Amino acid sequence: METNPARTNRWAWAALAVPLAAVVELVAQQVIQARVPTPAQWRAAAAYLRTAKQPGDLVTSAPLWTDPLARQYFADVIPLADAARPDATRYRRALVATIRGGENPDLRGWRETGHRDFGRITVRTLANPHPATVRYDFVENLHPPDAEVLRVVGDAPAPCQFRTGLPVAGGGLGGGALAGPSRYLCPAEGWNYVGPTIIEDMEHRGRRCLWSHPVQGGVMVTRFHDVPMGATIHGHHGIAYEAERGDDFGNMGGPVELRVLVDGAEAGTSVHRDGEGWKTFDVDTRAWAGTSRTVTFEVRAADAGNRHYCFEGDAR
Amino acid sequence: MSPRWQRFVDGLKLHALGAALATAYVAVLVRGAKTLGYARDEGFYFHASTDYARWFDGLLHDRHVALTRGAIDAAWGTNHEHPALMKSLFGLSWLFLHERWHWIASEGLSFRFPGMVMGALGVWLTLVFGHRAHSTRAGVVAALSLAFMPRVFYHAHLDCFDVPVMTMWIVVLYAYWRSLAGGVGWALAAGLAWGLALETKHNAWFVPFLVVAHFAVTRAGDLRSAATRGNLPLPLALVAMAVLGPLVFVGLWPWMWFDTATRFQEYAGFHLHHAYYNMEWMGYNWFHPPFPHGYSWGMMLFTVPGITLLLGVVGLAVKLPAMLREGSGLAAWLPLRRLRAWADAHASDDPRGTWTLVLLGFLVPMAPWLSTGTPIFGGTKHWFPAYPFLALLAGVGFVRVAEVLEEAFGKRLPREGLVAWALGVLVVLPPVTQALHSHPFGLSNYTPIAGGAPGAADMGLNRQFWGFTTGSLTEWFNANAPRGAGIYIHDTTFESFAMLQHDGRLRDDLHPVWQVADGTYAIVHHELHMNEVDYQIWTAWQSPAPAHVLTYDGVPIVSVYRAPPR
Repeated sequence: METNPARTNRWAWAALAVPLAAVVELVAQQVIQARVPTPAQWRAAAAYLRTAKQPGDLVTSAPLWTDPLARQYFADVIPLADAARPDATRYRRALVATIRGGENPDLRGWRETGHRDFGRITVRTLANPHPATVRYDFVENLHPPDAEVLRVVGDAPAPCQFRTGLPVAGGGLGGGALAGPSRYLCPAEGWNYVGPTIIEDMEHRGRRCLWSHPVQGGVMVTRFHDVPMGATIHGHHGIAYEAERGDDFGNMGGPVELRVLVDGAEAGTSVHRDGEGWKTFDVDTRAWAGTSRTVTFEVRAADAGNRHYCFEGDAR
Repeated sequence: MSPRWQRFVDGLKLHALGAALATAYVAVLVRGAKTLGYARDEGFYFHASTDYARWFDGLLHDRHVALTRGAIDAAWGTNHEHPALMKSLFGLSWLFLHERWHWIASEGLSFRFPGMVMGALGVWLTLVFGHRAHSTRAGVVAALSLAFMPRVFYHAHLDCFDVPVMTMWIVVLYAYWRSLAGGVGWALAAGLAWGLALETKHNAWFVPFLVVAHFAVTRAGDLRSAATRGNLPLPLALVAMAVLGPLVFVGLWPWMWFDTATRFQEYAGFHLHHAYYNMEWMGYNWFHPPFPHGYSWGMMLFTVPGITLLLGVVGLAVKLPAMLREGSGLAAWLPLRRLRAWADAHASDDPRGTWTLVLLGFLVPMAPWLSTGTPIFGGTKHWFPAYPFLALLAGVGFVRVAEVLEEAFGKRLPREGLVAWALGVLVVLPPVTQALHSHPFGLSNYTPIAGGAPGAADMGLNRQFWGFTTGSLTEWFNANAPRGAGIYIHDTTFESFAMLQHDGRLRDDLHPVWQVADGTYAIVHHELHMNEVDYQIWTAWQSPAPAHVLTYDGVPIVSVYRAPPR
């Protein structure tokens, strides 16, 4: 059989794609490894961040999967409240250790005002276009005499007792959010408390908030006294991931209602439904701005089962 | 030399090459095992294998007691959701090679050794299949491409079933393929092998579908003409499988010897109604159906070296005409005269339908994931039986490309065959380098197509599972942990932790603890749905700062936290 030389030639050139692909794959592997930031580069970025960070700044990293490295190398400039922040609206600036051109979703729309390179790491300085001034953080102030917690079932409000230095028990996959060392213990079951914890939200982010599991046929009441009011109470609420995502058959839980009262008068309500994740709420408090008031959060659910509910907020 | 003697010598050379490859592979795996932590499931199988081994020991010493229902149920009730063959081999290896004869000093390695040998047999048989179906060159490239697929390489180290069942699939299909040339021996071998495959892992139950589909496609013409005569020909291998398969399955699994029907129902029910575990894909944690359609093909794309995939596609293109000819008998069933005429003119002269078998060997193990109801939690391991056939197609692709390049450029080179040699080295280098680089983070490894581990992290692909990466922390704990420290070990089982100590890799004074806050250290294996454990530790110790983060190509694999001073 005669072969067509031109056709043979074409196939030969096409066949060269195979060794070329092998070479490209080998080189690509080396490039990927060479682009990995070194520990020395992380440490150099950390040294810079220690000097550059000012009060009101957030230190973080991008993309999000680098977060454990940021918390390791920048441990002294990332406190727990920042690592498990509800959002980034309260920060004036963010110093973001960035690799691979990554983006931190909390900082979308922020303006870059500078950057410093440390090998494969770029520390970007981003300015918040609308930073909020927080007057009072409800999570930080959950302790007597600033706060009190009641479990109200029927007509009998039962006060919950504040304890601190408690052992933190449990944990593990499916263990859910743990009760922290300080909390208001309510008289019924162990899960019935109000206190700071960190839940995994539907985006698998850690959110520091006040655990306030609703009680069947009752209300969980958390009250703060002498709160310096601003224009709004800004907050979030959510249900821990494994409780909110539903079961293997797609069954979901019922809604949870959060009522916000100022001096006993309802100022706003937000209902959290499964699938909404870490949900933002804003309550208009301009009528009380500049004064100190009593702010009450009431949590209730028609079906309280498996509602690993948590909220946080601040007056701003 | 007589043709028969020549065949014998050729066979000897082939198997010598296969044995050399297999031995080298086992040696590489044994060496790698020293630095590879123990996976969650390995911990369960240590326990089960030890129970089985003790029963075998009892059988040797007092047969009458060992064969009572009480003794059998006591030993074989452990981990009876999986059949017995591999766990028996793990246990016997431990009993004899470690405990009795002290040939293997590492207890963990003694459990793993039979799995490694099974992986090596798979490599050997892939070479043999490639040689017999095509050429030695095709077989060698196929064998090496299979051996060094990074995920296969990782699983080949373990005392688990996924690589062994991959090997058993190719054993069954090879025997079936040989049986199609005639003779009873290979048919019986196919039946016996299928029984052993069933006894290895439950995905072997899919093999008959493949055999029937292959026979129907490649013998469609014969079936039609036979059917018109009132006959229904069946491959002898299928008959042997139907007879021997269940016998071997039950015969080698003592737990099945009593209440067989009930226990079989329980076994089947476990797998038919298996819980849905979590698996990250494209940044989302999938935990119940419907699962994403593209998962299996996407994971193949991101975890099998690109050059192997490319050669597989070339091999498929090269053999597509042969596959069409092998399946041309199907046209005889169609009421289209011209199509039948084409089929008659292009009928294959390969009565074994070799390339249709290879194609089905690749496609059938992938078929369960056509359904969005099929669990995806196993990552790639559940479709490993497809990979030897992908590798065979890659081997064919390699030979064709080598021929074309040799023809075009070979004359300019001083020695004949140099192009093929160079190309051969070049196409196995990416798998080899990737597999070696993946160690000991095999499940965190992704190929350059995904951008490596960092690219996979960007895309939101699963980082790992089974908690085996604790094994990569032993040096850190040995150097840093205070004496008697407790460690919350998250996804690692206590058995796997203990085995690190039995092997002398981890200090004996350290101990695992049940609760996050009970120890001096707590670790988190980074896997999307396990983030909650991170937050539990932050809550317990009121700090988000890890003392150490284990990384692979810059991607966090395990965070280690230290308790604050008390």
